Amino acid sequence: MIVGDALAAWLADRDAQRNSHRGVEASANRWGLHPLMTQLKRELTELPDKTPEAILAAARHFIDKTDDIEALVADLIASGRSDPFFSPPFHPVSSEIHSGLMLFTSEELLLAFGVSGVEMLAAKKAGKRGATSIGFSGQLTAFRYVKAGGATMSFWEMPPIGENFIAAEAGVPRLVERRQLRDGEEIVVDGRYQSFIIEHAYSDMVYFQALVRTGTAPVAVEYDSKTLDFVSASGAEETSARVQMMVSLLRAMDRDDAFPIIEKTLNTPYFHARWHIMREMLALDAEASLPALRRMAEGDSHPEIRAAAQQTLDLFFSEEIPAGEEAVPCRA
Amino acid sequence: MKKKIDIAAIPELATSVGMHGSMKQKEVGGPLCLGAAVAVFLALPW
Repeated sequence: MIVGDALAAWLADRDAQRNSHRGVEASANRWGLHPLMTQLKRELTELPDKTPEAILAAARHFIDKTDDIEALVADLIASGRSDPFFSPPFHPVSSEIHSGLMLFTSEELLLAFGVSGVEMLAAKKAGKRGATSIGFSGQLTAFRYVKAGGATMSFWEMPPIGENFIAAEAGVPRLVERRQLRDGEEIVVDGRYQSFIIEHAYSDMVYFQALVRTGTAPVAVEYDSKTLDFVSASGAEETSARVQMMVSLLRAMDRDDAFPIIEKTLNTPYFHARWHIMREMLALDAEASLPALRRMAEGDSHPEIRAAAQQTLDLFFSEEIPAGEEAVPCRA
Repeated sequence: MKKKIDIAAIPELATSVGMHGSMKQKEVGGPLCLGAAVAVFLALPW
């Protein structure tokens, strides 16, 4: 953080602020149009088959361009040195143990570069801690460690998280191996069944992270790291979370004119989103929801959805008209 | 008048699924969540 006289002077000087802003814009244009970025974008666009593995291969081509990446980092450092109020035109990504920049984002891929500071890791490990966990992200991710920090990692596997994941049948994670990472090493973690934990490190870890956004499992799963008991599941991808929130908002606003649009979102492959949407539809217009509810009870691929839909039919529609004879609602 | 069901009364799935990005516990390391940054990033002048 920049404080004191320099900040006061900058805040009082519109021209200085404009210059800082121009510097950020110039950097954004310079790097947004740089072949490093445009080639990756083109490669992803032209992929004949956007499998997670093919997307990861494209990300590797980006990470392999070390000269370009060194030039990018040098350029950002130079811009920062010439103007302390310059901020890189990449979104910062950070957590308690990590800080970095999102270098590239698309529908298929997120690519970030960052550092896990050894003091950040130590503070987290040494600080007051509650229960801890082994998390399976549900997504395919590659890490390329430019500096591995002498870190020792443990690698874990669980039974694959399928489309019809059931918590009660999630299984137990098992330790596959524990070993020290080498500088330059790449690890690929298929979060649909693999995970890792940084056990300890001797120095900062500097790395690329490429996260593939296709072929995602429906949920991320968390186990207790001591007991290995299942702790929780959460949605593994962003789109269905946004759809769920939007549908809930429309229901809360009583927008039954949105019902036909909401009903179309029922075709999501993510089982938890399907049932979330159905519950909102029932709260918005129960009768109009009945045909889709019956279809779910009869043929949804997830057994818990079939059971919940049947239970809902029994609870609220036991005296309703038979299937196929529902009145077709007029939404004109 | 349309029949509306109190959403709290509608059965839930036995497999409870939290919102994307939510975790109850968390160990050091492991896959880092990048998803949340995307929306803001898209607002940048690229």
